[in-house]
Amino acid sequence: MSQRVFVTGMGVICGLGLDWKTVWSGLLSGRSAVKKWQFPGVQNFPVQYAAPVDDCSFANRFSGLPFLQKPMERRIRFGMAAAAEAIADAGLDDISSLGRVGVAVGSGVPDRDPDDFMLALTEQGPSWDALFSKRDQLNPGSGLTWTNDALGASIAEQYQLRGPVINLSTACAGAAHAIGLGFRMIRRGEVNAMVVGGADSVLNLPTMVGLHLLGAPSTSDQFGDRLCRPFDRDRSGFVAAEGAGILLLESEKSAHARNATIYAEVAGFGSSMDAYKITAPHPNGNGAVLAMQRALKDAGVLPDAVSCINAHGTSTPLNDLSETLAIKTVFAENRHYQHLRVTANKSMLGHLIAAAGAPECIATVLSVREGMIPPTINLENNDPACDLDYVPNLARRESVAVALSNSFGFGGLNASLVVRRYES
Amino acid sequence: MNHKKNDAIVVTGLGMVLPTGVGMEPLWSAFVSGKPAFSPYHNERIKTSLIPFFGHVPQSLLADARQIVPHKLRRFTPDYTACAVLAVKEALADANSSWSDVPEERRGLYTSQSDSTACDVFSFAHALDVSYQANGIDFQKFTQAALHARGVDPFLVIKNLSNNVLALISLVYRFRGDCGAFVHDESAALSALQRACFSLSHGYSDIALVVGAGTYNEALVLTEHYKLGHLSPCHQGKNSLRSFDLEQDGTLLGEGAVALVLERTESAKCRGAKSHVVLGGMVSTAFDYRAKTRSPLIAKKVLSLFNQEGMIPQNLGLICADGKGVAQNDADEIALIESLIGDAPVPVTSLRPIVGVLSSAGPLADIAMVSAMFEEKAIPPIATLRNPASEKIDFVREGVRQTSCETGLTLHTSFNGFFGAILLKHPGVLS
Repeated sequence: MSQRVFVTGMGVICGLGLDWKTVWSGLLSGRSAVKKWQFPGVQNFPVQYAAPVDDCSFANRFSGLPFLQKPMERRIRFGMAAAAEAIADAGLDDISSLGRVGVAVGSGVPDRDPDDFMLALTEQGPSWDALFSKRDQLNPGSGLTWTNDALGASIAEQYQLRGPVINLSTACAGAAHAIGLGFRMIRRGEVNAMVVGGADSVLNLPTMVGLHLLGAPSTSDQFGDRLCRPFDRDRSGFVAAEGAGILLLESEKSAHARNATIYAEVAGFGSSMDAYKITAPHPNGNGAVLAMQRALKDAGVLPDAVSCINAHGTSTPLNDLSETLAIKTVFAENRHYQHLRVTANKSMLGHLIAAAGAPECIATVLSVREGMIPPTINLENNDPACDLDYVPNLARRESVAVALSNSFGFGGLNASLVVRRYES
Repeated sequence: MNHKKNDAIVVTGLGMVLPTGVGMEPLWSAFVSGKPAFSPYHNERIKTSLIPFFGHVPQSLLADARQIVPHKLRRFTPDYTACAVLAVKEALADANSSWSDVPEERRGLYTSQSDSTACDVFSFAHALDVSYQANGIDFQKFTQAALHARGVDPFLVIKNLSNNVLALISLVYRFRGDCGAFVHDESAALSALQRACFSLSHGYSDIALVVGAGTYNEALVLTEHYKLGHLSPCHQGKNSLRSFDLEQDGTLLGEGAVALVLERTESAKCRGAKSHVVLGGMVSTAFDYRAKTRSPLIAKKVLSLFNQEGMIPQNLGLICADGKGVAQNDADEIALIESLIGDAPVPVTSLRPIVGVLSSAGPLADIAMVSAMFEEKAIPPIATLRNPASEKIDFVREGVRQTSCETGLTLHTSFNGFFGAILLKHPGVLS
């Protein structure tokens, strides 16, 4: 029998805060985590703004968790902290007591310490023997020694979870795919609960150089810390961020049995591929249309029941236009798109890349629970082609029964989640 | 058999690019004749005597594989992705051309891929070398080195993304349906298979492509495995991967890609496609570093799977074990097999001595080989096994065993504690 799936615990680590309540409060007040930023020891790096996690605050906040003190990549550390928060938020001392519990998480490119690369250097050029002979000097917290499945494995190990452990890498749609797969697994009865979400940190030299060479992050300094401006005429690229978002999804039966706090219901998931270009979305958002339509069908929800969309909204010229067109296609009947509220959390959080879908899904959950829609900040000059109601600059109090959360990734991968208000 | 005939998920297309070459025939031939496909280790950037042999995809094949990728996409394509694109071509051809009648939006794609460090290690080292100054890295010099001296590939991030295989295949073969890109190693292959089966069973897709691809031929990956003592010193040349042998001293790593086309039985019948093998179900365990052995947990799960299918393990036709040749992995597998079948004479073989550890392509290659065993009514031997580490287990050695089987179980371990099993059935069980 198909099970309903509820969100019963949440955790967020990002530049805006180290718990979901702080982050939610920041989003509603239009506070931005984007700030002036540079790599230590690197001069003239063209990307000058980012939304990093504050290391001192993080260390202070989580000094009591011994499992975070051992060497590990930044993204794994953020993910583990967010998982700890989500599980505590769910009121669980022992999550394995829920029975069959699995993990599904999305993450991106491993963090690579440039000093590790330098170990390969000799006067004659790079050499593996040189690297091998200095192998003990490899940074134990760097992705070079951690594999891309380390987050899921670490969560499962820490909490003794024996259910399926799924590690996804669908670029910027990674966390949304992970939430979607976790949702499906509970709904069909494979498991009772899933720890789902994502973690990422691209604020390392190799990855940022790679992203810069693709022209993805903005190098503008025109707007200072107001640089991330989804749907604005002057948007010029995304602003990189780091962090994690983890949700505990639980079957209706499990949540009711332990009288858990239910934040909202995850009601549908859709995924698709553009099959258009590696580095650009389809100009009409064809893949995004498919993902949204599939999610709505999966949830048994008609388009006119949706009142809010938490957009991917990267602040890149291509994404924001194609997402707008996709929304207009999906909600074309009776021009329902004119009645939608479309918000872009990245205007405040920056782009958490593979993790992005998780804090945005959490914000969507809170929107349907509390009837508050965070604003899209820095929306100062309307782009005539982006003509939806993007909730500019000020949060709005409005009842939201059903909302969508969109995530689209490099390679033309799309995911959309339907979140429904829980009526007890 | 519990399968409702039209609900079962079947494999209708098989394609592979492995150290043995392209397609099933050379792999099966090497497996049957017990000829390992390892070759002397080579990497244009790595000169070492510490890794004598490796399961390389032949250079000429890599060139062919790159030709299959449309020219405009080659700049985004590492070699193992090119192998995956070629493997998919083979699998789709094998699946009968009418697969293309399935609308693009109904074609699901599920990939499993390894981490990739190959693209950046030495290129970054070079670029950093020329840009490093007393007060740090001068990014302008770094960029110059990166862009003009070819120090850094401008598509580095794209090539390193673990959804690279998924992105390229969706573009080349027009797959626009449900999807997932999983990392990494054997566990990712099982995740991809499970999600593909789910997607087909629940009507999210009408055809599903499962692809596993990767290589261990990367400086830092090899460094790690060497450091962890996984690699055989190859004192016995190409015959050094000694699965389940008392004299084993480590494994040999390899590379390649395998693609499987999955469908619902009814869809396959409607298309007139041949079913190679039925996916009877699969189980996997989470990672558990604290456990001394993982076999009790996986044994419980495998037994549960058999119960669901109305089977008992002792009646299995064959087991295609992983047999990495790494002490802990093989010990775990032996404990599992013994606990599952006791003294029952279920033949056990392994493909690893022929092609090495293939990362996420490994489980898919094993499925392909079990389908061949069903078809050929023959179980190839564990090529290098001389002194079995278990007296109880009926390891196939010293020649092919002629026998007709209707069921098979593949077992999979990874270097990071994962354990999985896939139950396979002869397509005849559906008739």
